[in-house]
Amino acid sequence: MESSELHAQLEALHPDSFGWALLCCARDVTEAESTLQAVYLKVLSGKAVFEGKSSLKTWLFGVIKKTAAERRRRKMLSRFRLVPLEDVIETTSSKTGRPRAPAEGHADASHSPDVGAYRNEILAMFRTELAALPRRQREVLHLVFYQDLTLAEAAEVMGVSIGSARIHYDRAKKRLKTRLIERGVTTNAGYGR
Amino acid sequence: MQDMEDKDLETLFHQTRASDQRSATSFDRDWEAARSRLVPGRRASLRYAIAAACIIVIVIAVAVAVRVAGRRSTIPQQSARNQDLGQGLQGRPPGLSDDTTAARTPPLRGNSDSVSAPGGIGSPKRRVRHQYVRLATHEDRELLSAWRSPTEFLLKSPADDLLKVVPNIQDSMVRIDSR
Repeated sequence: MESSELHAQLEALHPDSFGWALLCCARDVTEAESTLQAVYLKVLSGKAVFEGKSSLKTWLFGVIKKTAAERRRRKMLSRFRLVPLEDVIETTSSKTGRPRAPAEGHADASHSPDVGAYRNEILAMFRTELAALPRRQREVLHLVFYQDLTLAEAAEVMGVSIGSARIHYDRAKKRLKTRLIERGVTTNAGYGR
Repeated sequence: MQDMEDKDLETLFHQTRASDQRSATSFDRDWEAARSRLVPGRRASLRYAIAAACIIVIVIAVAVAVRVAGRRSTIPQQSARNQDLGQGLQGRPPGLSDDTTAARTPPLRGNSDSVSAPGGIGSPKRRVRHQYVRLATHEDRELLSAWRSPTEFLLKSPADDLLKVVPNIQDSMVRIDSR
């Protein structure tokens, strides 16, 4: 693939990539941005090469997931001073990026003031319940509902078999629905349909 | 209706997605930030390469130094041994009679290989080597028999006399000097 073509496709995928990076980084916007920069750095330096074995989106999401996991590990090691602290700081605060607060709900209030507080509250509740799910279940729901991937593609991104992905998917749906209903979020709750 | 369907979940996810996309960073900014970090990355890899080369050079230098030091320590030992043996051959080695040393031992100067054999039949060079070995083993034996441990005195105790002598029933342990 030509570098200009790859650049264009990465640009088109950037919003989705950001959403996936957000999920992989526990909805920390700064960390998600740093992770994406690290991914683009891997692409530019040739450490991550798209070989066309899958779709670009699946491949990119796999790279994002691995990079986020690497950064998590590095941060954990830096806590025990096993990795120099500046390595983490350098990659966390990019040269152009400024530290920002987590994206929990306030984005709606700042960008679209017309959106009601009630809807924001429901979305915040939904995010909390989603974050409370086990990692695999959270990932599979995000990939299927948020990113509109098929279960097979989601399984590929997650690095598990399709059977395993299906099990996580069913359990996650059931669990999330139960929790949301317990908190009073139903079809009549008025969250935008 | 107190139930929830897949479509409801989908709606919630899509709303989250729309909210996230509004807070998403611009691609150009992230791409340029990554590009600006690319050059330090190359420098860092160069630094690692230089550090690795330095380590390899140091390891090789240490290995060479150890080897040279080992050779230096073995050469004096060999030369000292050769000198001792040379003296043993020239003088009277202990344990050998006058006729054997006088008849068989030619004067040696240093290494046995330096002994020339001018037109002799029956290879005097080989004979000298034979003597060399015999005398060496004899000397070694003598040295071993004369060797004492430097910590031998630690094994001596005041009660050694009592332990080495068979006690006499009528004998007293206390010895009084009658003078």
